[in-house]
Amino acid sequence: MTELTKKHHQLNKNRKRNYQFILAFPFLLFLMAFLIDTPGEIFHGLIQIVLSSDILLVDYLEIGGLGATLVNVSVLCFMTVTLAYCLRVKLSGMLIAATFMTIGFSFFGKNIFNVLPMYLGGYLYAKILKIEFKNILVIIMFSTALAPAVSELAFGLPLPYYISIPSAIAFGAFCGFVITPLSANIISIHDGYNLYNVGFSVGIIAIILNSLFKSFGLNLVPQLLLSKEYDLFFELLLGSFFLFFLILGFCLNGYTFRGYRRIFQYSGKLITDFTQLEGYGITFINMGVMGFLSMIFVFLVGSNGVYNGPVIGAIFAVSGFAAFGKHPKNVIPILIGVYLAGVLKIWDSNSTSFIIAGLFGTALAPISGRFGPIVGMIAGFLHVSVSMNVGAVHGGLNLYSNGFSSGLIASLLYPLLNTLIPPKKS
Amino acid sequence: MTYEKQKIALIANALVEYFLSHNAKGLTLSILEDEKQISILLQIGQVTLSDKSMDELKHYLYMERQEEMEEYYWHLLGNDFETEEISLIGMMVDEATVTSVPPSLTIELIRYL
Repeated sequence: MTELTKKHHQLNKNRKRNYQFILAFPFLLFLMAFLIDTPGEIFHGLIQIVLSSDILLVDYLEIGGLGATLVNVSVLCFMTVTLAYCLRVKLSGMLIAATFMTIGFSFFGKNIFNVLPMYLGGYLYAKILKIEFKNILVIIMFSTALAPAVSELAFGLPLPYYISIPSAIAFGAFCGFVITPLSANIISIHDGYNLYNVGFSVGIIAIILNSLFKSFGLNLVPQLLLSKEYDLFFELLLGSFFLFFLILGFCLNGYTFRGYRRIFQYSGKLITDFTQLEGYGITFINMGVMGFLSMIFVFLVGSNGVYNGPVIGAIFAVSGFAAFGKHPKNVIPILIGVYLAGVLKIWDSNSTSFIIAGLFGTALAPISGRFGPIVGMIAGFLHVSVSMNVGAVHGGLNLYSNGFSSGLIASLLYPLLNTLIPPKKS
Repeated sequence: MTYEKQKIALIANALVEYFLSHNAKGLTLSILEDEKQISILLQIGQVTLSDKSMDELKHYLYMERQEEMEEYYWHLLGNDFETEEISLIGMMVDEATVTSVPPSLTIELIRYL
């Protein structure tokens, strides 16, 4: 046995243990849901969630209530993580990021019905191309950004359900089928400098679909259904969750934070998998740190902004991608740029739309990591403007709307800056 | 195996670009294929890498193969000289051997089919 093989065996052993840590969270949420609400209330809430229109920006906490939303989150998380475990997908930074995106967006847009067709499409793609489904599972998890389009086709069109639901499933399956080749090619445009690349790819599909809708006289109306009453509950829950990750990382890292600063040397561009580069201990510490950093951002920029579904989702996205490219050094300049945009531009920085635009803008962290903090600030500043306007183009059908806007910014900045600032040699 | 030839070409290209960007001289590249694996052998006559760069190179190349990553990200290979990009090569090969006899360096990468 070579040295290389020995290392791999150790990593695989650790992965099984770390899967258990990830699965503990949905299990806990599921239990909490039934302590908070009755099974009847939860069932009724889930029906409301499934049947609701998911055109941005809709908060499941407002539509289905706390218990039903927690069950929706836990079931989706449990389903995807268990599927990944059974398929023996390695617990990489990419899988952690996709899992946290699933958790986050299960608060506002992804539900137990509208994500399933994408998995079907992905499965068909793998069968036809004769590749293992596990190799594209994570991309399919990301592709569920089109979940609102599935819900809209199923329940939002003036058609009988026996036509609309099969059409929605067929559309979702089509998206799951095309997303892998589409995203894999589109990534070349910005060379991995937009961390939410699938959001960029899905945005293109959403624009085409929205244009088709409009061609037939169907105009999608933007929504703004947001909860206010669960603010303190989620502040405490998220604070506890990120503290748990900090402590877990501290323990796995040999009861020390030593080595954490090494993570700052990476630009964060795709693919910077911290689980492989620095180990699970450092990765979990970084996820905890980035979770708290996001909460501080919400507190400062949002003037103690309300914790509703979209804000919770955005915080989870930042923390999840702290396993796959984001760290304080490449994220803080982006957030400063967003803050400056809040001061100088017309939008209310206390609004949910602004707060999530800022948090999701950290998809541009690699720009900051590679080209420096000033460029990072400019990227964050630009991102807010694009993000606040791009929803009209895709009609709110792309859950990763900010991934689409950051893709546009990265596609503009990367080729330009890469020409002006030559790559460094280590 | 989907796009196997293209992936091998990109791995070889990225490796060569990385060392050319480090002013390497006298590069010889061999690609050998049998029914079980493809080997990429890069022999460099002269290159100067700092101890830190050498450690990083080994660290990245010795990473575990991750087929889930390569299905989606292999298009990124060879577009940038960033050291992190070498980690993608590591994730796309099953075995990596780095042999340094200054000033020469030999890298052998094996990808199972």
